[in-house]
Amino acid sequence: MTDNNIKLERTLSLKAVVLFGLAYMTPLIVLGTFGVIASTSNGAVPTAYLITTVAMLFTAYSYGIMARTYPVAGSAYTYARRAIDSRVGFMVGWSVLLDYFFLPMVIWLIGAAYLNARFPEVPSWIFLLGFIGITTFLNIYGIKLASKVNSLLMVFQILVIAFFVLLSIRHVFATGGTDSLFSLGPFLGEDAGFTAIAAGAAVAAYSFLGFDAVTTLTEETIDPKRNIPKAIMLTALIGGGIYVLVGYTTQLVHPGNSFVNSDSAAFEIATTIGADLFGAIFLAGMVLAQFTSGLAAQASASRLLFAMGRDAVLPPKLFGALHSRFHTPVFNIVLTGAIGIIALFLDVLSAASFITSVPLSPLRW
Amino acid sequence: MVNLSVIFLVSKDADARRQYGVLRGMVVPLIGALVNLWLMSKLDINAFILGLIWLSIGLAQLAYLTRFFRREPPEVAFDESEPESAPASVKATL
Repeated sequence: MTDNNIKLERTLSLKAVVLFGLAYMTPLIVLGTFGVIASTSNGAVPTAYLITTVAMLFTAYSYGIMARTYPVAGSAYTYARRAIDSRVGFMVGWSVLLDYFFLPMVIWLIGAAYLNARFPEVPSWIFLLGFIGITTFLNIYGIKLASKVNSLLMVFQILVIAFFVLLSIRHVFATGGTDSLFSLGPFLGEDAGFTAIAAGAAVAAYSFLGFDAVTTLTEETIDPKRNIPKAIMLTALIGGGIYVLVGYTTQLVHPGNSFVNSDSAAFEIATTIGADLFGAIFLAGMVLAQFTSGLAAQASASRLLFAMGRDAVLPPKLFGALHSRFHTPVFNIVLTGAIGIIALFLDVLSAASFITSVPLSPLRW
Repeated sequence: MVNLSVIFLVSKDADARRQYGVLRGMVVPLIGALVNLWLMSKLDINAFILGLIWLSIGLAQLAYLTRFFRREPPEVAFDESEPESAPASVKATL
């Protein structure tokens, strides 16, 4: 530690922390993965998400107990270290690093790809560096500012989801009347057996990636022993609730599991239910969702590195240091940003295959 | 691992056991751990290999830090952030 007197600043409220967790989860992602989960679960998307949500609540509850017992920034790393063994804790921390280092990179890459598809005349590295630059600046300047920007953009993301749901309902109402709005069909799918739904639920679990990241903000949260356990349960519940609701209405518009291309199924549906204007808003929503997700992912990664640096399992002079004025782990934030620059040499395809293979998160849960 | 941490905490520490009971301290985390074990079994082989490679690099760093596991990894005491209610018996066992 360079200076014992500099600490992380305790400024975040319960609401701010939940919005950070939701930002990392990126609820809008349900529309990106809808096609894939519909295919694997034989058209029973809401059931797959319902099962996953209930299953994840058990783990969320465990996080709550550990956060109440050890309210420090290291999350799973600290919990395993203190409760099981310091060597086990190190390995858990190491496994979390893989996700936390590379997720921001993947998130920024996908965001830049959305923009590049819309504005092909601008080279995509400009978008990528823009994402990384702005996010890194906000995170260095302080968690308070980052949280304000995050809350504002999350409101927009939730509005886009609400519009998507409302337009879906209108579409179903116009074509089938009131009765068709309340149907068990989306829950049952097309003869979806238990095996199919379970396979869908396994894919759906990766939409929850990041719900546990709120525990890395423990030392910046007001009254963390009460607020962090609440925040992680709320993040899982609200996120899961959105997934089930969107899964239900989307599956009403488009029953079954056959799409032109299951990867872009959501865009097919977006054009079915809304006109071009909604298509544009939808794109803006997707881009901003990636932006907030990157912001939260970079914040969490830098806090985990800080906790490990402070314990001196990583070089403490670099990783365990805080900026004297901003009270943020500047080195860790810049490092996470720098790793994102690797994305300049990757294409979306290899990044997407990485995100579906993010291998170690169930291990830390 | 977080689920397992709860089980370890509750089984080592009488205060925590009283506070959370068998249901919240044992049954809930056990179900959570089984769910995650099942999720890991669904991973594709490439993810699994990538994970193993990453973990072996970590094991090498740990071996270096602990001089081949003969001593504990370092930990700087940061007492001001030490939770007052952290069960004493758990600290003692570390």
